[in-house]
Amino acid sequence: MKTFIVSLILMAIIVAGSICYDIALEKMTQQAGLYAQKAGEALAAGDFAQAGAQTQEMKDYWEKRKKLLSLFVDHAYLDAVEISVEELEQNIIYANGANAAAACAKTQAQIEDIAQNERLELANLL
Amino acid sequence: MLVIFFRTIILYLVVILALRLMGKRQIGQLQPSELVVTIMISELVSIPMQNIGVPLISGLIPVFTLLVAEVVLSFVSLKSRRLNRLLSGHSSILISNGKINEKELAKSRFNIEDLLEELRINNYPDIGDIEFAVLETNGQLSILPKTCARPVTARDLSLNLPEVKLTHTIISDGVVDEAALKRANKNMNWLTKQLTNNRIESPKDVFLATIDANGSLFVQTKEVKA
Repeated sequence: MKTFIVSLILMAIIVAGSICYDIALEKMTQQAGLYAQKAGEALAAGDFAQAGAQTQEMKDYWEKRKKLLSLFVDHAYLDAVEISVEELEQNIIYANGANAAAACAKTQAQIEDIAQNERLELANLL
Repeated sequence: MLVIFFRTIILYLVVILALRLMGKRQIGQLQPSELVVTIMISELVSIPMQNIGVPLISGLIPVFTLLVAEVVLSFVSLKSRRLNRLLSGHSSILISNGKINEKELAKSRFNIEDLLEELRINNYPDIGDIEFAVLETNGQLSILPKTCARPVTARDLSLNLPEVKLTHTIISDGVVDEAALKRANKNMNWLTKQLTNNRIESPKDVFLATIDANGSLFVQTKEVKA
């Protein structure tokens, strides 16, 4: 009976923890994605300074949360985002608009993909 | 490399904990659901053990989920006979009243060679000696021989033998088990006296000491290393 109760508690912890993690991940990726989106809008308007500032904010935001995320998310996904952000940053520095826009869209998609993979959806379940 | 080392240690401890929580049956005779869980756990932990890019938690969560599922299902199947049958199946009587039940044999996908092999493993080379043979849910064959092939027991000989009682291990590899000593209604003073009588200075010099129901002490000292 004791083991059964401990198991039920453990199950509740796993489920509750997973829900909290999914919510937190969704928020984190939404915020980082928002920075990428703003950088993309600035690039579309030809404002490289604004795009650079947004990219820097996204980079800082991502760096702060990377340690926590690396406990739960496959490191390959995190590394891919990091590489894309670097690519975006370099393209902005050299004012390469088309490449910067492509790198920005790629970064946004990669960030959003992390949360997408964890969403409780039929596509993910199957 | 150190990361892999520590990850392996962590996963090893978690699997040991999981198997301990699942109970003794898990380690001995496996029911179908228990076998599935054991195989899955071993597969699950090997992925984060080898690939340091995969977070440890992605190996731990499935292990704990399987553990919880197993314990909860075992508990519920204790209460529900129907669920128990669904999870573990039911035993099949392969030999009934000395006659092979062909239908059950086929249903269990057990051929006659398998049956004869199992009987031989259980020291019954002659199928004519068997009254009943039951294929249990864990895959083991329980055999009830005919009365004429059954080993003689004390009851058959009307012998009035004393009941078997548990022998307590009171010293194992130099360590005194005080709880066992207490169960045998003895204490440390008694033990020290007994060891002195056997010319043993300290319990640390004893490899094994047991005490039976009659209070007889068996002592074997450690071998002196050259």
